[in-house]
Amino acid sequence: MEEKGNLRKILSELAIQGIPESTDLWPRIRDRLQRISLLDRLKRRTALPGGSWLILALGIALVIGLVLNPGNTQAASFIARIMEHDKRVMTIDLDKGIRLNEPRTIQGVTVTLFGIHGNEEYLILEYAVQSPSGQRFEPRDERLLETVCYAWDGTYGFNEDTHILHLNLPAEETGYLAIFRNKCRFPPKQLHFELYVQEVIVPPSVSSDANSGQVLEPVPAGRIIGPFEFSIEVPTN
Amino acid sequence: MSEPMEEEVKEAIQHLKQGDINGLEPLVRRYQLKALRVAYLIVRDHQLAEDIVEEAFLRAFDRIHQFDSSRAFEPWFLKIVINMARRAAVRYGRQTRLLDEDPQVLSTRGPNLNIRALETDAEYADALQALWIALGMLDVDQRVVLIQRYYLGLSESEIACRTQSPLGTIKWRLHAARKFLRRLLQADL
Repeated sequence: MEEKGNLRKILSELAIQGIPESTDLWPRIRDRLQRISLLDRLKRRTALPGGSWLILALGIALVIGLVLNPGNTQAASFIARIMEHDKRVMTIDLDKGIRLNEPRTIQGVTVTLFGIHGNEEYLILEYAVQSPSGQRFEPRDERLLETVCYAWDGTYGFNEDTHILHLNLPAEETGYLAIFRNKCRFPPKQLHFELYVQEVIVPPSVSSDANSGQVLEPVPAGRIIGPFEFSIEVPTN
Repeated sequence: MSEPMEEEVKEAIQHLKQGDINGLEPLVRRYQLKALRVAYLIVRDHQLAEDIVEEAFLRAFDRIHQFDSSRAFEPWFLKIVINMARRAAVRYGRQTRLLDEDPQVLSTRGPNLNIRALETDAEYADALQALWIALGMLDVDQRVVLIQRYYLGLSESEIACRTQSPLGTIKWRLHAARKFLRRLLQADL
């Protein structure tokens, strides 16, 4: 029995010698978590879940089309129809949730968070971006901070009155519906929504005449403004 | 565990279950040392032990929804650590084969593991070193059981239950490990 006690004692001693009391893994774990979070965000930007690229592309194309040609109501109705049949949107009762009207303005760009809807699977944030006259800004990065529960799953863009969301947007404002998928069984009650916007630089129209001798200049990257920050309570149906 | 500490752990787990990564810090602070030492005794490499425990905390975070909050966190977490360390030790053992650890060295050195009989620091240091080398020569499964039994202080039944192994297997591994160490170290274990 005594020898077994000795074995215990020697194992303890070996463990203490190998791993001193001062050892602290937290800084490297914290760094790793931050890296994972950053990679996750980058991945979200480059590898959208199935179908999201199409929705995003359709949304952006329609938004740009509508801005250039606000009379194009057929296209707007089309995206509204897509949205109505999107399973993620269908699972949430958009009449429920929280109605907000929280504007944030930075350098002349105003982002207004209109509402939040959610259930166990998805969280939908409605917001609009109002650009200064003669300029156009689009969302660049939508993030829910301090949580790993929600993964960005796509964004719809629209700029007409939509009966789905009961919004009446003025011509200079573009509405967005950001969808986040919930990965946790018990989502957090409080979230921090952060958003950047980037100026869209429209390239000058180029003559199709190959003999015109016109030299194409690279289109400069637009200004990035933000973050627009919102603290929100998460509603569930 | 004292009550305030228990509350702190419960609260941290609740945060994790809600996806709040801040819940991980109190758990790391509380359990890292024990986890690191267990992993270290199994894999016998400081850096590898740190990598394993770091990974184990992230895995625990990832699987926190599988954890039953009405039970203690430490056994659940240490099970993750031990499993990972065991796998790493098997891989690591295959690569290194402990080339520099010759049983002949141990038997000629003749260490004495009866601590009361160790009169000098040098003798004690010898005993530590001898056991360290001998541990490395044990079969990994035997080493894991030995550490659970004598470092963590688990009973044979508890080890069997946690590893979901038959009690007879655990008893045999412990017996074989003690016999091996006894023969190698010429000690009465």
